[in-house]
Amino acid sequence: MNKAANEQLIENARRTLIKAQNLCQNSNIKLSSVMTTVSEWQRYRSKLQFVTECIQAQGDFLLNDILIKGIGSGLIDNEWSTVVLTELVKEMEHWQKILVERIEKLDNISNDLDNEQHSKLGDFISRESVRTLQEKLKEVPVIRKQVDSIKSQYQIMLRKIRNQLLGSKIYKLKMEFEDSFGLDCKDTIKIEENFTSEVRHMEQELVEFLRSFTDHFDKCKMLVNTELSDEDKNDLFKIVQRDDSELDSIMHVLEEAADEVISFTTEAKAFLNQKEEEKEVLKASIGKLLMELKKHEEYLSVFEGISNLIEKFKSSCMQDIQEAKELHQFYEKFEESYYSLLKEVRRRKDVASKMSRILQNCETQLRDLNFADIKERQAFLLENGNYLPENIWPGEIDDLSPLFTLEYQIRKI
Amino acid sequence: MEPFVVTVTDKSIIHELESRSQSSKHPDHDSQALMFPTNIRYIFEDDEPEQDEDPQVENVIVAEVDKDMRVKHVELISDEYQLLSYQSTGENELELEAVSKFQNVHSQNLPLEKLIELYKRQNEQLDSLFNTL
Repeated sequence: MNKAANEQLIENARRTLIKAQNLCQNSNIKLSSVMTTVSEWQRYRSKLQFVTECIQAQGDFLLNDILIKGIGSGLIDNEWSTVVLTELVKEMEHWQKILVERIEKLDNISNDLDNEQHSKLGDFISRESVRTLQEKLKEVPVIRKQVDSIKSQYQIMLRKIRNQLLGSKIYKLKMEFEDSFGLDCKDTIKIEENFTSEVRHMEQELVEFLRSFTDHFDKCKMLVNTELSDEDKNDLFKIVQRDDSELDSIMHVLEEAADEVISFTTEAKAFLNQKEEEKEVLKASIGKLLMELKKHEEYLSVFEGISNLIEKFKSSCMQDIQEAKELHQFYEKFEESYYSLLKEVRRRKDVASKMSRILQNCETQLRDLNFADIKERQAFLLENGNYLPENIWPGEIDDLSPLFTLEYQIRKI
Repeated sequence: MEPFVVTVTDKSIIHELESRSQSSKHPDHDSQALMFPTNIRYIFEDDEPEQDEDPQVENVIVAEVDKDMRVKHVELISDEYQLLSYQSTGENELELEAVSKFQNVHSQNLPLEKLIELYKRQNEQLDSLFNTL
């Protein structure tokens, strides 16, 4: 054991360690580059899964909520077929009938106040309102036709969405995703589990190599450490010398391991590159599906247009019904008021005849008084007339005109 | 260094439906969609990359800032949410607009107009997600 031998051992250990460090560093760079790509791939995979599931949910929303529930049962079955085309039409027909009956009734009541034209109560009302409802009812078949045509459009769209979009295209997208990117597919397991554990394993292996080379180098350095006893140094020298003889073969194994890293990372990168192409294919499918989902917005707007149209028709019908109800009530009141008017006429006639009786009575009494007065005046003149000078009461003494005049008029009712 | 205030708004249509179904609408109807992420950690360039992943953390927001604390890039790593856009108001505030996974809507007799509006909104969200693929 001499200094030169020690130096030789240290030098050899240092050289080997540096070489090993270089090899390991290069290998580690390659391995961590694979890990970076793997984690990018994982994030992309998770995003793809998210988007794929959202597309499925959007398809379900379109089919179940908008088409089946919203349009199918909500609008076509309930609002259009039942509420508007059945119940509303029934109500319109009801009010139309009632209004016509009411008017017919008025047409059959003759106006007692008119003896010349023989008019009827019906002659005094406008027929416009009856016509409005009638016109609206005439529009119903047109609306019904539109609903029928939209119904068949709905059936076509329903089939398309259910069979083609969801049953085929979205299903295919899901399968495509599951086959190439699904959590349990063999490629995902290869990348997320096998690649990762392989990288971890290789990294660990490299760490072990470095540790043993570093360990050997440290031991070599301890040989020149003066604190050790000669006996210990001797033992250590033997160990170091033995290890030194194995350095080349261990280095050879490390080189092999480094080669394995190269072939593994090359293979992994190639595999991930190949997945890159699959990503593009899937992305293209997603793009197409998004376009199709967007296209359905236009089809839906057709339903929305019809819905607005029927909504408008409905509210205008309800307004007409309201008017019909009010008119009906008005005509009812008109009839009642007509009978009240007849009573009023009778009452006024009674009053007039009462007044006329009073005046006739009065006239009779006045005429009797006047008759007696004239007689008195004639007797007075016979007795006193010759003795009274005319100018003592000019123009009056021999006047025989009555003391009263009575002119009256009772309005003819 | 002032702490960052991070808010995340979930733009999912589901929140709109929930608030609709309530008889009395909360004045701030966005509140159910608004989230305040906790557990904010500051990582500096020289830091060792953290290996320990907290299994309880489900959603991670990574915001890169420059030395003036200006937000340069935001990433949302999550299986349940995806980032739509973000806005940094400068005063250490970061507002994220995200969307949660579309769910079954179970619409309660919404008018067709509203349904179509929601459908269009989801298509727009799908479009922005597609652009990040």
